[in-house]
Amino acid sequence: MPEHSLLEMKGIEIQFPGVKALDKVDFSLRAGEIHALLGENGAGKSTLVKCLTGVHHMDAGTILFDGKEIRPTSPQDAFSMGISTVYQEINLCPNLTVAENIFVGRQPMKHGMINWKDINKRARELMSRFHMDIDVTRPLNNYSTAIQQMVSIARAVDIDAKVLILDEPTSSLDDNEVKLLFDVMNELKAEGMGIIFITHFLDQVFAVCDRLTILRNGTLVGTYDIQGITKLELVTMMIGKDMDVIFNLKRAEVAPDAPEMLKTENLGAPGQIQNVNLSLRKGELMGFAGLLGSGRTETAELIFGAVPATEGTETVNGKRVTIGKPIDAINAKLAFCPEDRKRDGIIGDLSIRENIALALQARRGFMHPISMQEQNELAEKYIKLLSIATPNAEKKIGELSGGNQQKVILARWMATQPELLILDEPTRGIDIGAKAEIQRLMLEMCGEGVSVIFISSELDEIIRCSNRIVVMRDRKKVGEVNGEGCTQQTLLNIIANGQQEDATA
Amino acid sequence: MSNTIGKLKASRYYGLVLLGAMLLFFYGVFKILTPSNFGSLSNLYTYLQASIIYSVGGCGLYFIVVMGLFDFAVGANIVLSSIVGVILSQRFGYAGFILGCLGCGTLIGFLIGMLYNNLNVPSMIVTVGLMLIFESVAVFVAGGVKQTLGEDLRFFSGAPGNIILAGLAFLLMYFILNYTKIGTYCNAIGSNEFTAKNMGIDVKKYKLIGFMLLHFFVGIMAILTVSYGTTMTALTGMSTMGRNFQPLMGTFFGVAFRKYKMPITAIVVGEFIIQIIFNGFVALGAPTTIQNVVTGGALLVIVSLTARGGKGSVVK
Repeated sequence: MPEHSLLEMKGIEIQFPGVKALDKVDFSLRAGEIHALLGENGAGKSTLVKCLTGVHHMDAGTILFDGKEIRPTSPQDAFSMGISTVYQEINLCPNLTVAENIFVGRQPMKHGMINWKDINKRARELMSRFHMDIDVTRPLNNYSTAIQQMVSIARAVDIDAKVLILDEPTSSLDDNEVKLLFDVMNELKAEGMGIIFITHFLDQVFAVCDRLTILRNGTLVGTYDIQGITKLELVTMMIGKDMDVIFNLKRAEVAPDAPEMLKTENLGAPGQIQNVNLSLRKGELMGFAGLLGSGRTETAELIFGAVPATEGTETVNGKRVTIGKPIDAINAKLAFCPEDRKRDGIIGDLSIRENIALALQARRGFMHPISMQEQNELAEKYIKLLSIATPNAEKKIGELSGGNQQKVILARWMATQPELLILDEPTRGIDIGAKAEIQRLMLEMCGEGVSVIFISSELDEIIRCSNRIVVMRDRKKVGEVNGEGCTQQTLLNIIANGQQEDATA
Repeated sequence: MSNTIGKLKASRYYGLVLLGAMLLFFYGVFKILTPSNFGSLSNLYTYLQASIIYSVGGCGLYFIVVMGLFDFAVGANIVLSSIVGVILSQRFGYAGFILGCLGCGTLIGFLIGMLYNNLNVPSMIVTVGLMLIFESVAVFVAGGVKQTLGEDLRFFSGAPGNIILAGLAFLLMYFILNYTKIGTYCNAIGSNEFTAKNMGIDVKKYKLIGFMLLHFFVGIMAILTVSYGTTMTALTGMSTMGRNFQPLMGTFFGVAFRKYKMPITAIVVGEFIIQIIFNGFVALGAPTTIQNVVTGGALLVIVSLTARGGKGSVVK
């Protein structure tokens, strides 16, 4: 690997109102390396990247790119210099074709007209370089998130980019899609591109990166070769605490005679999912494991009435209930934190206080408004209880980090004092400290008698927290195992075989 | 199998079949209800001539509607550009008439675009405010007098003049949408303005271009409108508001059928369908109120059937 630095950021400082976001941070990237940028939410990763891409303007420091000092003034400016960014959220236009998305803003012209032949040909070549044989003349929204992510990368690298910044690119991808992305990253690396990889998945860091830089509270902790650091050391440096303290979590104890809280029999909605049979006891944590699209979210939506069930029965606390819409579920003391917190969870322009009060207000009804005093009390209580990092309750939720947004959504549902809490990917895209706190909260709630359904793509956290694990595949329940004694291999076998062997039960 | 059906449903032919079916349906209904008063070949030709005028405006509106913007000054611009064109035609003949309408129309589009970009106010509010101003300017320019187009300048009042001019407008629209950056950029801005900006599109510039193109087409519509009616009277008090909606209905068809890659055909056929509905009710002798209720209802049904968002999508 070449040792010279392609990119050198020295002494970067940024001051935001009331907080020093970056304090004399150094960062270097070599040509032909994949370099992880790590840290908890709020550590300064995004701020550093935004300095590099011209979104934020630094107060002090220098950026050397290919030996020359640069100071990008906008993302387009950075883009034209050869610094491309692919964000976690797909930053393309879904109504345009794949080819249009790759070339929009820089279409090749012929005789003053767009050269569609050339655009489509080049787009096809580019996608086949990423092992994607797709129709580039179809709109982007016809394709999966993984393909859309690849189109983002194709667009980013087609400008002869020398630096590619991948900001949480794998958070919506399944294992196969992640592998495909890593193959592409390795190919680009072999071509001499420098890649900055921001992720919360530590296994992925060790799988694909050459070096890593850790930030904490806006300061540099250090830069390390991947061979020179262990996962435990890495996490300890990221959070500044001993990892054992954080992961010292124990499964909830469920009394053998605990009453049944939720029972579903052949619950289903045609076209969504059918024949859902579940039984969950009071204070029990049930994990849902399976690949993306296996039916985990659809099952949760069905139980909560986000998608009305048209067949089967649902029993809550021994009583048959008809849950046709979310308000019915809320009234039955069910709560649901959805998978896509930005789209279905937060209301970005409302304050933390208003976001927390929402579900409780919905349950009380329009005629019984929650007083301002009560809203303030609720907000203060949950900000303290969940350690939500905010200067006050009036801050817009959209301005918080992902982990803190997730905590506010959790607070929203905790405020309704639910008896069944459904959490769909609550730890996705958040740092390891916030992740551990959310797991601790789930288990504490179970200890207080709340039943929890926990959906996650990370099998280790499912196994660590769950009393029982339901395995889903192809929109069917294909197995159910006890959390105690369960291994990742057990779950992978069920997912792969599509059925459970007796020994695994 | 389902993949083939999916591809078929997304194809241009499926869109054409849908449009054709709607056209036949509405024609059939009124023909059955009032066979003698409605739908003869000569009637259809008259409906077509009226519909192509609105289609030209509908094409212009398409540029800004796909960007998520609105313009309520279209009607006011039709009146003002017609009056300017007619006045100039009295001195410069066809050149004055055509350039007057097109120049005035485009200039107004430039003004709207500039104000919208710089005031940072929703397009609906900017254009309602400007509509009131343009109506007053039209009264001032016309001197409170009805303006009549000279008898020797009425080539565009009927076929083939109106069809040639409208056809040229549709060709221009087709060229802009398919062979220039403008079509793609308007769609990109409508999809996500922030993303479009990050992709290197100068959003403000293309919004300005969108408004200018819209009002250039309104200028063409003004030529056709005043030629068809031969006179134009300037009135104030939002009297031009009603002129906004007929072209807009065609635009809705265009947006709804955008996924079949045939917005222009959809605008033209859509306006024709609306003409059939209007004239069908006239043939039935239905009161205007009922006509408006049914036309509005038909529009809602058609657009919701063709442009309905996917499951769970948020429609604003």
